[in-house]
Amino acid sequence: MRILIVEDERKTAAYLQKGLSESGFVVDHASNGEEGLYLATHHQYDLVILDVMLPKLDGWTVIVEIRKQYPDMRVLFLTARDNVEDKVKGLELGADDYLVKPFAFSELLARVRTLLRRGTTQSSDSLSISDLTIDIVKHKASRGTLRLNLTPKEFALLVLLAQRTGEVLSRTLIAELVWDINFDSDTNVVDVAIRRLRQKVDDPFDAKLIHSVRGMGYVLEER
Amino acid sequence: MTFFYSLSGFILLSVIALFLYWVTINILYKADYQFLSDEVDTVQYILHNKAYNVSALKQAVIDTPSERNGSIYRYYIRVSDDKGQLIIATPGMESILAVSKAAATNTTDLLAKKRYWWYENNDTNYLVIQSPVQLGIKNNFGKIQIALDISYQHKVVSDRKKLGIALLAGTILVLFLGFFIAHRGMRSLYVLTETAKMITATSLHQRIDPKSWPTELGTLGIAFNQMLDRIESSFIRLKQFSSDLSHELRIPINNLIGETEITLSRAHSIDEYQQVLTSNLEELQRISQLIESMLFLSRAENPQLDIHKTLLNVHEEIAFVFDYYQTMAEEKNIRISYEGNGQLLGNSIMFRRMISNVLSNSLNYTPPGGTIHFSIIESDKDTLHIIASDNGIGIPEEHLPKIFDRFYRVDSSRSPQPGGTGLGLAIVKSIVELHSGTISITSQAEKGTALFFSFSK
Repeated sequence: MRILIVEDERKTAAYLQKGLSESGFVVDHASNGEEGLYLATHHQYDLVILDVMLPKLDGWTVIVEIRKQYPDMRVLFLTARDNVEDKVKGLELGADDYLVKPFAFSELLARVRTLLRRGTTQSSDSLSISDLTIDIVKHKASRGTLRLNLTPKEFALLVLLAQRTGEVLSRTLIAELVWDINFDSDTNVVDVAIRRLRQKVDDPFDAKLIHSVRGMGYVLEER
Repeated sequence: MTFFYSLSGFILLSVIALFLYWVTINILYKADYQFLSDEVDTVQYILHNKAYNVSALKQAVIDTPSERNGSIYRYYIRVSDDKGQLIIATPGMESILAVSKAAATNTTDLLAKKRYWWYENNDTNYLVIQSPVQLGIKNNFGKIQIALDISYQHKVVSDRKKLGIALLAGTILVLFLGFFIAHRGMRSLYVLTETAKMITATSLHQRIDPKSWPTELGTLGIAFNQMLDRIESSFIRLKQFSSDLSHELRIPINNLIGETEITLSRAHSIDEYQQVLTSNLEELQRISQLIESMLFLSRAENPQLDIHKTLLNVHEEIAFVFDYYQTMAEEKNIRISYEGNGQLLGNSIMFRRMISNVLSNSLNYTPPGGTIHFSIIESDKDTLHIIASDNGIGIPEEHLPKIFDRFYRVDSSRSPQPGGTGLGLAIVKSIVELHSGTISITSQAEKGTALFFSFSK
């Protein structure tokens, strides 16, 4: 998967490039709007991460030009401006998603993966990781032969972690995706919920699946 | 200012003076002209109709003093025939107006206009009338001359000097009055100017005393003071805010710098690096959260902020937040509940954030086994109340007035949540205010705390 980052702030661009490369993406970088537009329209990218405030050509103009040639190109807006009008304008001009600086890299990564999965997802009805199997339609989960007795929220949390297996999900993102909490809240709630889920999913078994990544969040994977 | 006051005063005085002067002249002389004209008519009548009866004329005109308005008119009369022969005259007439000085008259023209002229003799002023007269019924013509002593009127009228002096005195008076009025008004403005000049960021406490000012300027003075009050209080808040902010940021940033410097000073194991980076990450996340909260507060203070509002079902909004905190409450063994219904025009995300902050606070300060209860009360169609109460550790009374201030912490040692920014309740208050509501708090140490929200719809 090839990603283009159009960002003039050197340090931001450098860590994004590093982080995304380490997550398995091929990453190109442009440091101004003109260069970004040229690269975006002359190479094949799966996703463009676009800053709004750019030298030479601003993000609004770049996205309009990109959309003229590639109506289906996925674009993620990245900006320090966070008033609603900007958000609305960005989405109206055809941005697929919008992230406000400062953001956690894990959150960006999650959104990038969501965008790239869009359209190509095989929305499966069941998931299985190691001996964990989840039947999304029937709302059932089990490890080996043992049926897990989960509350609806615990089930939703497990499904989220399992669907994104291998990805570290931040507390903020989990709160947003499971409880729809899209404001700054007490994320200790997420820790409590994960702890309870672990009691049911991991505690009775030797092979632990849910791991905490200190300072970043949680990940479900076979280790 | 003084000049314009005086100029307008002077113009006003002059106009009045000239008008009065003109009216006086008119009244005085009109009466005199009328009198002379009447006298001539009488003489003509006597000489014409009474068949040239000189003795009747003498009796009627010369011997009887003519009175009008109670004052005696001093006048002299002379009648002569067409050859210049004197017929009758008031004694002394010749000395006043010599025959030779009388104007020539075309005696045949009976209808000729009466002629008037001014005449001065021995410091006495006379108004003279000369008119032809028919003597008897025959075609004998003569002329009448009557001189009226108008010295008094003339004195009054011609005494322009006095008028000038009065005008000058008036003007000087106006000048002083104008100067006084202008000075009085200007002094207030001067004080205002001087005060305004002296005001800088460090001397915002300066005020003016508008009590002694003229009413019109008093309002300005009061408004000026009120403006300073407002600026000063925002300034104090801003200063407090930025000093708090730098304090809040300095500690974590110093920690970060110190930790990073020590780590870089010599080689460490990968595990140690990881640990430092993780610790830094946590600290940075806290700073980031702090900045996000600060931005929220500063935006909420912007009066131009236009938040998107919809009609909220308050019960559902609270249920939504409770759903999120339910597991945590269970974990802490705190019973959380809510009741009541109501609707409110508001911003859903902000409203939830407000409820979330309050509930999260309560959960942090309520010991296991405690209860937290939210009541929604729609007392009437226009007001919605929310009461959030807990039986937690409470807040000592002396802290209550400042509890909604930014970064205010009752006691830093008793905060069980090190990640807290100290902005939670400040954000709650600003959200309440964005919804045109009010918030108040009551609390008793060791008994619990209750927050009262009041929204007018």
